[in-house]
Order: sequence, then C-alpha cells, then structure tokens
Amino acid sequence: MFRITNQMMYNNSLINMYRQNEGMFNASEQISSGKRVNKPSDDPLAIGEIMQYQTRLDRNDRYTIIAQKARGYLGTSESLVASATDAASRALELSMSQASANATPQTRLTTAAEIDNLIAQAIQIGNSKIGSDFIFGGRRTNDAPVTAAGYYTGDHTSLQSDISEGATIGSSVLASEFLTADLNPRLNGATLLSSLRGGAGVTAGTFTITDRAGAAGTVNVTAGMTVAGLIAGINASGANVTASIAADGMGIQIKDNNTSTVTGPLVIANGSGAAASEMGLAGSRSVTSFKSDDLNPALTASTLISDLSGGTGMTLSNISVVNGSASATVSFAGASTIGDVINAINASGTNVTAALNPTSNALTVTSNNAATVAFANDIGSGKTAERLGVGGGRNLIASLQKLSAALKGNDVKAIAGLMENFSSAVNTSTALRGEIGARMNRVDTTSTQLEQSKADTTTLLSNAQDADMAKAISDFALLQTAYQATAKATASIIQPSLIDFLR
Amino acid sequence: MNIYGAMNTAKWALLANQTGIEVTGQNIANVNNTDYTRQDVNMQAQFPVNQGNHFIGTGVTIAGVTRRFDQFLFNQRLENNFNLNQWQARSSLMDRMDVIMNEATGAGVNNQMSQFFQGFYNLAINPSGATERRDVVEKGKGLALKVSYVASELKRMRKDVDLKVTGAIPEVNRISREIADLNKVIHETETNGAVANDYRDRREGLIKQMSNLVDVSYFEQSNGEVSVMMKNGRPLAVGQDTFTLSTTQNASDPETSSVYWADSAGNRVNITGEIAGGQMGAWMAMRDTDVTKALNDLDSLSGSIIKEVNRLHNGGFGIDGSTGNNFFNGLTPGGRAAALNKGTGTIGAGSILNPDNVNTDHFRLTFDGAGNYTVRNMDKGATEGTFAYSAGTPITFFQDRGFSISISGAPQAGDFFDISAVHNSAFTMGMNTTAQNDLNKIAAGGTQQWGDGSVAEKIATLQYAKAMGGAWTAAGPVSSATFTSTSGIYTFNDFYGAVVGGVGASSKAAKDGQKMQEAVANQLGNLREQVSGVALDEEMVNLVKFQRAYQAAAKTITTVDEMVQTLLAIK
Repeated sequence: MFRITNQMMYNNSLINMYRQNEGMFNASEQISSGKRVNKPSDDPLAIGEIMQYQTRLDRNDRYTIIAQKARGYLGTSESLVASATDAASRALELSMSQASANATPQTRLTTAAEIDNLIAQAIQIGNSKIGSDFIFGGRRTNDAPVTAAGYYTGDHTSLQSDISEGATIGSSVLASEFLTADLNPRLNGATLLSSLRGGAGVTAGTFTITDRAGAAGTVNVTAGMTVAGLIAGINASGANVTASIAADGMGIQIKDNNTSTVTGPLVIANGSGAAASEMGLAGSRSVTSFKSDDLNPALTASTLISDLSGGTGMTLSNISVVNGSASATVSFAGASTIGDVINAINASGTNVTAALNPTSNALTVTSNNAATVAFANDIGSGKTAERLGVGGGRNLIASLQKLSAALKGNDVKAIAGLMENFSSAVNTSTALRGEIGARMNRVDTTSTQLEQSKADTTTLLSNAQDADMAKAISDFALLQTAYQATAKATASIIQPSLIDFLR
Repeated sequence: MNIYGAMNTAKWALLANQTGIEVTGQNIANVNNTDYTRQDVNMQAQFPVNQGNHFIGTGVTIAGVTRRFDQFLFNQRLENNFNLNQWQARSSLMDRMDVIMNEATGAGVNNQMSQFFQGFYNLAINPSGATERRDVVEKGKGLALKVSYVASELKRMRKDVDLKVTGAIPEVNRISREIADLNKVIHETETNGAVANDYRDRREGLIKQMSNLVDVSYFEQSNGEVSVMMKNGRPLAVGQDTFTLSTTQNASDPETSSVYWADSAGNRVNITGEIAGGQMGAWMAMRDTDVTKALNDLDSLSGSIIKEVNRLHNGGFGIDGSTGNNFFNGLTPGGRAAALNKGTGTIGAGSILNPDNVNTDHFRLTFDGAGNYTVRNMDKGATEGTFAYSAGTPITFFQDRGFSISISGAPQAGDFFDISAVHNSAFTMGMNTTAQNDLNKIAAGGTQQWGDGSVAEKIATLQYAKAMGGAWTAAGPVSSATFTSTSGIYTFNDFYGAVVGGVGASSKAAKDGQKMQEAVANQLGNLREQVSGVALDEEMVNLVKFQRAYQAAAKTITTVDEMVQTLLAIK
C-alpha cells in the first residue's frame, strides 16, 4: 500500500506552486524589461553576442562622427584649394595678356598690383583655419604654416582620420602640396644637430641618462655635432642603452637593454642647456624603448637627394633655367646632394644664384642682375623644378612673386615664360582637388556603409536580446492558469480529513 | 484458573490500548516535526497458563514501541542533503556573481571600455582640444572606477563567503558536541533494553543538520553510539568524544581563512582542501576557485589594458612637450598563497622589469616534498617545467617574463602559490596622477605637433587589437608591431565577454544542479514520508481502534464483574 501522509501533500502542493511562481516571475521579468536576457545566466551564449553588438554599435557611432568631421575638413579644404586654382588661372590670364604686344609698362605696373593682391590671398589661403586650427599645416595646427614671405613652415604629414576599421584617410592636405614646396629630408648620421628642428638647432650643453638598472651617464652636446656623434655619445655614456635613428628616419630611438635588474624608470634629464627637452628625449619613462620627437632636420648643402621626402628620395630630371635672354638646360646627372644641385644650377651660365630658402626646406633661384627675373621650368613631364621649389606646380606663391617682379621690372621674357608655371600650378591644384574629391567620395561611401551596418547590427542585437513578447505573455497566461488550478486543488485536498467525519 | 483471571486479562488489555492511544497521541503531536519517525506499538500475547489439557491466554503485553525507520533511506537522504545544500549555496552565490558581472543592461565594464577607447578616438580627431583631453581623463577614470568596482565587489564576496566559512565552524563544533552528548544518553538509556526512539530521532536530526554544512557519513556502534566523520575520513564525533574545527586567517590572502582540524592530541591539521560537500564545500569552492578565477580574469583584462595603453602613452608627447608619462598607474606583481598550504612559504615583493613586454599570464607554482616546484601557466593550461628549490632560501622567479617575484620559507608537498604580474591590478586600477592633474600631459601625438593625434589613434585602435591570449615571446609584445595583430586571440572585448559568459554558464549550471538535487530530495522525502511520516487519517483510525479495544476491555471487566455479582447472588 502506498502511504500518502499529510506532509507529502503539503510539500507537493508547495513545491508545485513555487515552481509555477518562479516561471511567472521569469515571464513577467521578460515582459516588463522587454528583454529576453536580463543577466548572464539567462543565456550565457547570448551575452557574448550582445556585448559584441553593443560595442559594434558604439564603434559605428564613433566612426560616423569621425567621418562627418573628416568630410567637413575635406569640404573646406576643397573650396580653399579651388580659390588657389582661381588665383593661378587669373595669374595665367594676366601673364598672357601682359606678355602680348598690346601691353605697356604702365598696364604691367597696374597688373602687378593685382598680382600682389593674389600673393596676399594665396598666403591667406595657406593660413586658413577651422576653429582655432590651421588646416594646411598638417599635424602642426597651432602655428601658421606659411610665412609672410611665402615659405612653408608646417608639418610634413597631413591630419589622419580613421573612418572605419583599418581604413585611415588624410583628412587634410598640406600647403606644401599646392602653394609652396617642402623637401622634408630625413635624419642621416651626418645631419648636423644645428640643422634639426627646422634649422633652429639643438642648444649645446649636456644631458644625463639613467637607465632602468640605475646606471647613469652624461652626454655632451657640442656645437657642430652630428646625429651620428650624438648617437655615439649616448651609447658610450655609461648607461646601458642603445640609440639609433628611428625606422621612419625622423627621430632618434633609444632602447634600454636591461632585462633582469630593474630598479626604476629610464630617466633622461637636461644637464646644462636644454638639448634633451628640445629633442623630446627628456622624461622619465617606464618603457624599454621609445622615440624622440620628430626632429625635422633642415635642408643643408650636404643633404643627400636620397634622404628627401622623408627618405623616399627623388629622381632628378633636367630643368630649364631662364634669366632674361639667357636660358639653359641644367642636367643633374651625378648630383647626390643638395649642394651638387645648387652648383649645377649656378654653373648653368645664366647668371643666376641658387640657394636654400629662408625656412631651409626648398631652393630658390634668383637673378644676379637686378633688371631681370630668373625662373626655372620643368622639361617634359619631369617634376624636379616643382619639387625643388624653383618653378611651377606647387610653387604658386613663388611664381606669383616672380610674376610681380617681372611685371614691375617690365621683363617680358619672364612674363611670357612664367605662363607655363601658372598653367602647371592650375594643373597641380586641380589634381589636388580631384584627390580631395576622391577622398570625400570615400568618406561618403563609408558613411553609407556605416548606416547600413548600424541598421543590421541593431537587428542582430534585438534578435539576441529582446523578448518575444507574444511568447512571453502567452507563457505567463499559461502559468497563471496552472497556478490557479494548483491552488484550487490544494485547497480542496488539504481541507477534508477523517477528523471532519468522526463525531 | 479463577474468574479473576479474565479480569486480569482485561486489565492488561486496558493498559496496552491506553499505551496505544498515548503513542498515537505522540504521533499526532509530531505530525509537523520533519525529524520525527512514526512510532508503532508492538503488542504481544502474554504467556498462557496450562489448564491441564489446554492453554489459556493471560492477556496482552507491550513488547516495545518501535520507530518505522529505514536506515538505508536515511543514508541516501544524508548524501542527497549535503549535495543539495552544496548546490543551493553555490547557486545563490553564483547568482550574486551573475549580478555583479551583469553586462546585459549595457552599463557594465564593457560599456566603460567602449567609452574609454571612444574618448581616445575623439582626441585623435582633435588632439589639442581641451574638452577632448578632459573627456579622455574622465573616461579613463570611469573605466578604472568600474573595473575596480567589479573587482572590489568580487573581493567583498570572497570575504563574505569566508565569513560564512568561519561562522559555520562553531556550528559544526556545537553539533558534534550535541551528538556526543546524545550518544551518552542513548547508550545509558538502552543499556536496560529499552529503545531511545525520540533521542535517536533528535540525533539523526543533528546529523542531518551537520550534513547541511559538511559532507558527513556515520556508522553506529553496537552500544548505540554513533561515529560521525567527514568524507575525508576525519572524525568529528566518536562516541562521547568530539574533534573540533577552527579557522585561521591566511596571512598572504586576508580574504581567506584556512580550516584546521584538531586530533585527539590537539595537533591542528590544515584540512582546507579536503572539504568538498555541503554548504562549506560550496563556499570554499566559490572562495578559492570561482570568485578567484573571475578576479584573476579581471586582473588579466585590466593588466593588459594598463600595459598596452601605458606603453603607447609613454612613447607619445603631451602638448606641453612632455613625454614618458603613464596613463594608468603601473603594475605590481604579486600573488596568493593557497589557503590549503601546510608549509611556511610566503610570497615576497615583486617588481616589473619590462613594463611594455611583461607576461600577463597567471602562474601556479606547486611544490613537491623534495624541494622542487612545478610551474604551470594557468591561463594556457601548460606546464612549463620543474625546478629545484632549497627551503628557506628566497628565490626570484620570472626574470625572463619581464617581472620578478620571490618566494621564501619552507613550503610542503602540495602547497601552491598563484603569482602574476597583473595580480590585483583590477582592484588597484587608477589613473596616473600626473596625467590626471595636467591635461597637457595627455599624450595624443607621436610628436610635439599639436595636430598630431597618432598616439591617441593607436590607443583607440587597441579596442580592436587582438591583444590578449596570444603566445608570449621574450622578443617583444605580441601586439606591439601592428594593432590589428592576429598573433593574439581575443580583443579586450571578446575576452571580457567570455569571462561574463563563463560566469553566466556556471550560474546556470548551479541552478540546474540545484533543481536536480531538489527533485531528488523531494522524491526521497516522499519515500521517507511513506515509511516514517505521520498520516493523520491513519492515526485517527488507530485512535478509534485503540479506543474501541479499550471500551471492549472495559466491557470484559464489567462482564466479569456481573459474573462475580451473579456468583455472590447465589444464596
């Protein structure tokens, strides 16, 4: 016989009601929060997915904002470069008319005034700002990139924006790409410390290095020292570190060699003078290897051609140099340094002097005769004159300055010859606009993709996380019915007992 | 046999049925006492008297009052009880962990991490912006705060669980004492042949209470006394003697206490690793394994973030031209000596040798008796070799992993130490004060140019870098070369997702385990009720049965009385 005791009946009823209560609680939690997963144990697999989707959405929002900002910068840059194109076309037009036989010295003088205005306008374009940031100076947003004399002092890398995972675009262009050239040499062992920091140099003095094991040394920085000398000085200082020119060629890499006995950070401090902080070496670091600031070496006569453009170098093609009635084709065959290039131009027999510009980042060609204006042109498809800063293309400001001087000096040969430089300036800035347009296109495409991906991810997140309301509500109703039935059955099972019937 | 023989027989019947009513009354009174075992009255005919050619019975006697007790069922229920309590305790603690690490609401560590890296994206777009710099600092503080909040909640949970362990010890000792006392009473009561039913019920109730806390088994000796011992064989009560448990706080890990058992000579033995069942078993497992694992994982996460962000930030320049500043406070290696350690080994101070390429894995050093220790990488599950250790001589480990830490003292066989370069980094995670207090020192660029956001961008892209779980090489950090490196396995986000998912899965498993044990308990409870439970209807029937028998016996006396009167009326 199966004995059913009172305890069994109570317990069974209670357990069943607890179970149904729990089910109703879970269902009501889903209904009220609208979510199927309210804590990790609700669905341990889904929680990873949910986190991933939430992160993806956040990231998407971030990229959208970055893309908007990049588009703003590129849009502004595009219209400013367009103004430069207009200035170049106007100069081309004016040089054409003033080179003709109809022009007189008087009209040329009047035209020179207009060209002077164009020069001011070009410099103003170069120094345009968005908010408080200069936009054509690359990463150097805090200082005007074009000097009053029209030379470039900005950075050599444009602003970079990450518009989607792994996709970076330049969100600005440099004034050196369309207004005034920058040769941007890299560091070399023979680079003089005095030419670093855009020619500002490094102050002579001393600095100390204390490696992470506590060994200390002093490095002397002397006038006339080279980068190789500085590196040798650091390596021989007594601290257990190795210095070298960084892989990108723009700074000095210092590596602490200690691997087992480390007592503190790697400390570099100025001794006498401020050499260490000027080079961005000073500081207390806990890392084992770091790079100095971008040392931005200035151009010198000994700068190697192969070190130009941040180390990519350039191929020198023939250029033509014109000064008054004299003209010559200059070949740079065998030239390996900037000095060789300068000498080749000076030896052209056109009575010109080639020299470094005042900001030491490009060359200038001037006439030795005050009555004539000297200038250079590229021959054929070469870009040598343009990149060296002596003629055409990206040297719009210099070309305008030469035109102004030629108009004032009534140098018809130069006025006619400069036409070619302006037409190449129009080409250069138009091409740059084309590139900006292409980048804007890329940003727009990416923005569309981001929108699409946002919609997709939102759907996925909802699938992983949201409750199926219809199911949750019907589950709840079902459990409610079961609960009521149990309660009723319990009430009627517990009540009767033999006691009620024994009198 | 004379006429009063029948009267005497009826008297016995009155007494026996009265006892029957008393026992039924006792059964009814204990209907809601879950430890109570239903009692039966065993009646037996008295020896008859020889009447020459036949025997006449002399009435009924009470042979005994016995318990309807099933020893086998009780043993099963005991086993089920400590399993049930273990799963219940585990499930409720897992629930708490589930809540601490809840990411489903979108306001957890993952969200803060996302915000933090977004802050650096904003800075990369506008590297000189004061607002962006302030924002990066706030997001950095926010992330550090959230991570250390979760870590502190987990640490508090560890401490709370430890308090439960230490709080349960006096309870175990009290129950042992009571069992020993009852052993004495039962022994004395049963010497004269009676069965101490209610004392036995009480003693079984105590054994069951004990099984709530620890995994116990017991056996009865011939004198009625029981020996109660834990599953590891350590006795708690033997006859009238008890063996007490005690706890001592673990010096190297103040959130845990070691449990000691004292033998009859009073020597204390560390039995921390031996308790596997009951609530204590669940608590110890949570304290020493589950919560510790979650803390270690959180340390791996925060340690890797600190390492990677600092490495990049150190190499960048603030807009004041300063460089070499940490963004977060650096790491300090450390570890925990296991609560079950029997030796005197302690962990000494450690230092980071190579902050940008330190191994962030967790290592376990397990000692054998002969002065050797085995190093095991707990994150990769790989044994890295066995090395000699001379007791008492501090040895510095792990110089080749970019950090150092020493162990001194005399560890014993089976002792282990969990050490890591990222130990406690989640709890102590915080922003470097230099960077926090001077916004100009936030390094956004790789150069001193104001518009250079390259370092901020590199830090931001760490969010998608597979910077965790990769093989560590002495040559360089896995993720340093490129930030979309495939040499790692997880992004920070993936890793934390796996940690949270793991906790969720454990919590679900604990709930399932609890449900299963509850079903078994319910089943066994019903079986017990079938055998030992009190059914009121049945007792009412018995009551009526004994009442009627009593009435009939009284009627017999009346009848005999009438017969005597009839006899007396003969004149």
